[in-house]
Amino acid sequence: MSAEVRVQVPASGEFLQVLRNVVAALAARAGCSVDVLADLRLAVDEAALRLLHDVPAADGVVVEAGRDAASLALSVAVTAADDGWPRAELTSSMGWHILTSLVDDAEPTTTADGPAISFRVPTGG
Amino acid sequence: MAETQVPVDEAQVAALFEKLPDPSAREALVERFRPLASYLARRFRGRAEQEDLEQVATLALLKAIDRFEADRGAFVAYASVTIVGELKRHLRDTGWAVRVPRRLQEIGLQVSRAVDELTQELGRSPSVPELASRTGLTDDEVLEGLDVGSAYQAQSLDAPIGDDDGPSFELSEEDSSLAMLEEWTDVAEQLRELPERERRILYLRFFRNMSQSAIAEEIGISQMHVSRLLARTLWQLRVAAGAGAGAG
Repeated sequence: MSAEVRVQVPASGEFLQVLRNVVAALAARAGCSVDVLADLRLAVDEAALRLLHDVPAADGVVVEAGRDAASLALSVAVTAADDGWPRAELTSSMGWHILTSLVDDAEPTTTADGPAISFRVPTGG
Repeated sequence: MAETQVPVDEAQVAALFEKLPDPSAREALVERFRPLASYLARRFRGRAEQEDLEQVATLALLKAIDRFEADRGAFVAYASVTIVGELKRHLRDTGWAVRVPRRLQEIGLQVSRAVDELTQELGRSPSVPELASRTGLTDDEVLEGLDVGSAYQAQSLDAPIGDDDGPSFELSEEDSSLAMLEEWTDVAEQLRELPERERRILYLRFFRNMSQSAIAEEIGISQMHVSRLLARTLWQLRVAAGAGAGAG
């Protein structure tokens, strides 16, 4: 995914609102429905909190987003060394089940910044 | 989020509760859970003086410690519910709702109604530009409206604060996969303690894969209200699962 937008905030829960708002604005411009927008906000929270929890050394949270024909692709990453990410129990956790219900193609990955979770949501009506 | 971590050694905590009403045990419990109270108070920042919120949260923590009974499950969950309840009561009593500018409240209401109307008319969830053309607002105003309406703190919009009781639901046979929800033992207790409506929304969204607007229609509340309840429930479960960490 070539990133159209990249936002970085400090690794603290209080900055998640900033990420949620940026992502919601992008999704609105991409034509996402209100249902998708609402799920996306929850998904950004879920992914970021999961990463912050599993990678305590993180000092920043980075969201990258890019569009293709029918979807908006996002990655939520934390800036830290890839130390044991993803944890073995990640994909069997409740948080992961929630995330995969909210968005498509969720997967743990690693970006240039560090441990990440990528996913996509449908655009258009 | 290191700041939200509450060190909880359950055996130690249980031992301290055993010693109550011994003042030093009580003090030790307060110290141990003060970070949780501060964390919860910060969730409401900007709605009132931070100092007041901290004080309300600390008093609520004391109340939770004094009233807690070991058979009620995890103290963290019990304390969180008590503290959040007291913080909300405080904000309600001090008229926090006026801190959401009147204009934004009106936009939130307008957008919330338009979402439900357009969902009915189109038979699908509307986009932001569609909401903008329906309401005469700009795209950015619609986004603001969605944000203020679905932010879980902003409960005053289409439901009076504290009036979250709504219609109640009996769990039917088909909902037996609630057992599936409960496989996550670390939050099973909290799932059982959720109000039936919240539990049902959780079930419909994450186990029936129904959209938020479909759930809104099924339950008879607005899509933005569903959104708000989901956000809040997930947050409560996360708190229960580890003081603000990801649920799971």
